[in-house]
Amino acid sequence: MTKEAMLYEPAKDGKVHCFLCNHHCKIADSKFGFCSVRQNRGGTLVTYAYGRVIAANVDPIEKKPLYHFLPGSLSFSIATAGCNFHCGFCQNWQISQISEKDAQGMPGREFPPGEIVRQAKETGCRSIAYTYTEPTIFFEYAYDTARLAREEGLRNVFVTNGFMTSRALETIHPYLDACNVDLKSFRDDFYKKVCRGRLKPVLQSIRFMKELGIWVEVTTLVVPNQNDSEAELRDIANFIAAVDQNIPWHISRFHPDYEFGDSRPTPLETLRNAYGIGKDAGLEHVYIGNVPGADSDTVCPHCHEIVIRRAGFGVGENRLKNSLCPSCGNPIAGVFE
Amino acid sequence: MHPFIAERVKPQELPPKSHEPKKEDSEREDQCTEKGLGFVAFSDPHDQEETREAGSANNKAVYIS
Repeated sequence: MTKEAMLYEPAKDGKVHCFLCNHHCKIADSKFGFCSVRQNRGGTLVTYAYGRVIAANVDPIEKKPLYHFLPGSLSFSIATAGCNFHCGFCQNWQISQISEKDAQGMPGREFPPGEIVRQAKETGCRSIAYTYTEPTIFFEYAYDTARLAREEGLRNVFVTNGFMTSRALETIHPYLDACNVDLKSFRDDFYKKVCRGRLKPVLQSIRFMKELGIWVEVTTLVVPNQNDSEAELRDIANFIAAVDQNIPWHISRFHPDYEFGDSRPTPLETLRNAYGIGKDAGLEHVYIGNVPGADSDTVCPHCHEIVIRRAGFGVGENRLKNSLCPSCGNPIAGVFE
Repeated sequence: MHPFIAERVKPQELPPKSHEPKKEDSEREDQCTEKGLGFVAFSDPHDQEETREAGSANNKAVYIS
């Protein structure tokens, strides 16, 4: 199924200019954008990433990971195939990296927006997460679903590389409640070589999401010998703190995958150091992810009492009262109702 | 812990289970099949075991193969 894309305009010589993401592809007739799912057909940009899911799961919201957004709730999590990055360490590369040829016979299962919303409600989910691959590349599908979901009282969540344009964010923000943004590095070289993206637009998106009132959490997958220097981790932590010290920072452990299959998992010591760097930068909430048994409780930054106790992706106890610490009354940043 | 519900589009291709399905599993599969999309939701511990490796990391997809 194809659908006319949003966020493009005609350009010279029969090309179209796609401004959905910051690649800003100028696409000649019959050619595809960098994402491999958007094609110029005689001056009309169409998307193949509409109406078919490659993954659909009922996940704990903590798996996104979002720890300060409706903790303990379920999120109906969907993806289409495709991505606008080509990260060598992608853990979902089997579904994110597809060819133009594959996109034209988009793999997956037909799943109309209304059906997604219906199943989300039926399975007791409080939100729909557009996740696993990059939601920006299935923007039209996410947009239609998010609008319906909002009408039915559900929230909407993006787990994203943050490479969408500000126009894309402006368009979807009335329906978008929360984002987890992958801040993969603080070096533009890394983004260019390893991800085939750029750093600056990601930083702009994080700032802009906060301005738009979207709840934001940030994840950094720490890859040995790639983005694990103290200096770089400090740069990331300082950036987040400068935007808002209340943004939770998830430091995730890397496991060998895709083109980085010969690499080693992130040493725990590196993750512990990163945690300290985050706290030194003034971040109120830092979490280590992908480490079974790691301390993932939410602690009141004022009195240091545990306010949300977690085990794995589950919430054992949520002691918050109207978003306040039950011990000292300090407000805890997040969306809890 | 949360229930873990994994979507499987082709349940017939799953490895044979080493246990008899419990009654509630069968009922759940029936309900899901009735949704018309062929989605089958599992929540019994065996299926969690099978998908633990794939589904345990942050944002790791369990996808349609």
